[in-house]
Amino acid sequence: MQRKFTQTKFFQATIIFSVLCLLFVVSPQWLIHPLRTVVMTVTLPAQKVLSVIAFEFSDTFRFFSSIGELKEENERLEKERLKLLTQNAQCVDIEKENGLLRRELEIAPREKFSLMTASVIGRDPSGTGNRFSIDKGSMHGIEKGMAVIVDAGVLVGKVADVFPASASVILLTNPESVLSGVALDTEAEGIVRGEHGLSILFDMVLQSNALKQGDTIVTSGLGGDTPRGLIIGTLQEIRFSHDRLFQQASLISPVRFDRLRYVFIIKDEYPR
Amino acid sequence: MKVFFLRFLFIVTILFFEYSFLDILFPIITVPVLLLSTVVAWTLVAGFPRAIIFLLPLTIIFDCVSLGTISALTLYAVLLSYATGFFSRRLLAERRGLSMAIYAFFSAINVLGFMLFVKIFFQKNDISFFLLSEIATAVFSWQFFLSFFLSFFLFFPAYYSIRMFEEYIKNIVQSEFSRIR
Repeated sequence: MQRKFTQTKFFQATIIFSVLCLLFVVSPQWLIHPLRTVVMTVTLPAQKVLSVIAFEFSDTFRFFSSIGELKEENERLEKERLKLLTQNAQCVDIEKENGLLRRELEIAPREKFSLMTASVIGRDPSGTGNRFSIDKGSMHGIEKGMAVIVDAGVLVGKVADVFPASASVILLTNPESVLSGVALDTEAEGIVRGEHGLSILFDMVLQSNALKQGDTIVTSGLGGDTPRGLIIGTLQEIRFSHDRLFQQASLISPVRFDRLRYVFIIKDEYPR
Repeated sequence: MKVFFLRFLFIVTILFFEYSFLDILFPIITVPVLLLSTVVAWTLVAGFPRAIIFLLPLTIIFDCVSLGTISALTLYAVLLSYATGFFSRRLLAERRGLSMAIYAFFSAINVLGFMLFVKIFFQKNDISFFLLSEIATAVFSWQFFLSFFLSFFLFFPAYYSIRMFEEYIKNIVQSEFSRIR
């Protein structure tokens, strides 16, 4: 017996695909967000266990694969240690001087942050994402837009979605991530945004501002979301924008985003 | 109800094995390799019309959990599942030996398919007009090779575990049915 076209698998596939395309366009958050919240909350223990096992495997593998590089790494670290010792001595001197001047000018100490530690429990593999999940959520006081850093005050991203016991973080490489940055040496201001989900771009820098390769870019604090002074990365390749109106440069973060295991969320940016 | 919970548990296990284990263990890969292998394997075991019922929740939940919206994987999974069903019936009905290796290769080659699908339809930044050079860059990358081999080797455990699971579910349904009679 001849099947009708509406009974064919091709027709079924077309209908399903069309409905999904429609859902993709509409993106009903009133439906997706509760579903996401329930799944993320219910499966949190399993996610924690799986992520810990994965990190342990990863660490063990990295340990064995890095044995051959230990000698070179040791020499490099020794050189870096000597360099840092010198820098540290200079910094101690500057800190004393800074404290003295602050006391004389009656300026309050530099802001310190109230931090919360979180573990990475999941990672989005698709090129469109550049997100990861952490094991702290609204129950722990996490809010959307909070800055996520690693221990040395290096910014890695922002909290994008919050669930009761977990949260989703977008990395600086995500094209949706946009924040204001400033160069430490030249004080050139610009916009820091993700480029193709792979790298970070320091963009919209006025031609009148000077950009220097190797200069460190920190957050400017403009816009209110992210505190001032968090390290974003160092400037690499400087070029003009397509319309040649602005300067732009690629940024290299000192952190490897694919190796993040623990992060800190800045909960409070007021003086403690 | 028992069958429903078992199915849900199975789907969630696959999903978080990908999201919280494989993607952390291999952060370099940009493709959900296990899920692509699962789509091919489940379609081979159950056929397109039946498999899509379980594959849709799997991919939709994964997209929602990782991106907060229905996205590339869900759409690609429908196409992949239909294509797998189409080719398996017409070209290679056998399910052992070399045929399985060919299916595993088919599953692995879909890594490239998914990468291109995302690149063409989902990347917000400018799409390159030099698509051939984009393809060449994608193919000759370390990420692609790792994803390709992972997908190839993950196909076998995915296929056999899904087949065992489907047989187990069938037994449960039969025993419940005979109890009612």
